[in-house]
Amino acid sequence: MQQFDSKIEDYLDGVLEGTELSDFLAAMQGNPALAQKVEVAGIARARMRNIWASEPAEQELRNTIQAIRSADSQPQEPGAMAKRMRIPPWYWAAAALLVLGFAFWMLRPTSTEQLYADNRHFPETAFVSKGDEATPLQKAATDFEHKHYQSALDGFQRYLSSHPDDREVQLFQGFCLLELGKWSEAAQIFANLNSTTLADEANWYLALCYLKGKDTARCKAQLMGISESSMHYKNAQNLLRKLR
Amino acid sequence: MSQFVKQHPDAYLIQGLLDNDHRVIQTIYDRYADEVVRYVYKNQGSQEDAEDLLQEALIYMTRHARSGFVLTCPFGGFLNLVCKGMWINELKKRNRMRVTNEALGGSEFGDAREQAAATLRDILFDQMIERNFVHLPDGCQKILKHAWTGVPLQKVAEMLGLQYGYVRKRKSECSGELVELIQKDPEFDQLQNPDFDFWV
Repeated sequence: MQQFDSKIEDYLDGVLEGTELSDFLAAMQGNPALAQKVEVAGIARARMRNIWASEPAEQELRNTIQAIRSADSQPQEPGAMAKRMRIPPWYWAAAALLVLGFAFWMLRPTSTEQLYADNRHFPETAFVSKGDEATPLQKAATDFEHKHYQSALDGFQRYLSSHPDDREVQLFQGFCLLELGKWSEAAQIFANLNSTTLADEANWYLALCYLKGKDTARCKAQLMGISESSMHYKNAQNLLRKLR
Repeated sequence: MSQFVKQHPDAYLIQGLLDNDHRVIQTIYDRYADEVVRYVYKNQGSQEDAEDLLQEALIYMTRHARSGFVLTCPFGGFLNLVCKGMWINELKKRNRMRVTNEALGGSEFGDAREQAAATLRDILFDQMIERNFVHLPDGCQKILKHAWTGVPLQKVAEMLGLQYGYVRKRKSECSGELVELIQKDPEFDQLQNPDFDFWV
């Protein structure tokens, strides 16, 4: 077989002819090990060609990703990346005001409505699509951002009728229901999402559903179940303190 | 892929990667990075491991997409499964294979699992071949790179200051060495196995 090994490259280059070619093909047929070497050499050559051809485009993509990563380069804990990206710029000013008013805040009696209002900070919608024309989903997202919750709900529900598995849209459907006072319907949606990738948001907003429904016992139980790894753990602990 | 395959609405995210569209890639990071980071954290990785993993997954997925891949499942589940498979493979290499059974969000999508398995096989095959290629002597790498990208052997010989006959012989030997390295690679057999489970 050794004699044929040196012919593999010539065979793959297509330069074997006549009896050399027929002898090589016959050797491959009778020798699976040789056939496998030819196959592996062919795959390696094709893949390396593809890798080399992709290098310029991949370098550009790598640069774009690096730029996005370096914009997020501060040390973070798991969960922090998504949290930070959702924080609007005015948040820090609002946070500073909250700190200044902290003492007053602690003494002041708080209703469940007030606690709900203080704690619901919905994430931004990010239903992006290619092209300039707004899709029905983007329109619903815009309605949501403008607090037109009924029309946003209609839009999300229309989208979900053809994309029932889109969990992110389900989450926003739940937010709309919650804002429209249909907290038990919203709770059902969040409960269904609590074993998915959106569990952190779903568990937190499920607690807020109970808060909005003035069911403080279930709200507390739900908050106590929010784990330390959740991006809403601190929010949950703060809210628990205020409910005690 | 067949023209009758129906692409998922999330396919614009793949197109955004192919177009190197900053806005779309930012959207991918905003929506999905946190889940990958959390998974890697829970499974013996660092923040940097997670971010490197996500970056490489996106780059390899884009390469896979360039060869005609059509996304037919939700992007999030697909990406999570690819990252999880790549991370499990990395842990196996580090001999620290003890991951949580937590699903990364993709296991509930049968179609995502199928697409992710095909993509992972492609990614891991590329990685295995690249890994072994760089183990070849520098001279071998140069000869093969020039020859396999269509440079005539006579020209390769001139470029490298070598005799034509030597280059021809060496090309055959170098290719044989690479084949041998690949066949001895521990991942070779598993990637040949169509039933191999990437997530255990």
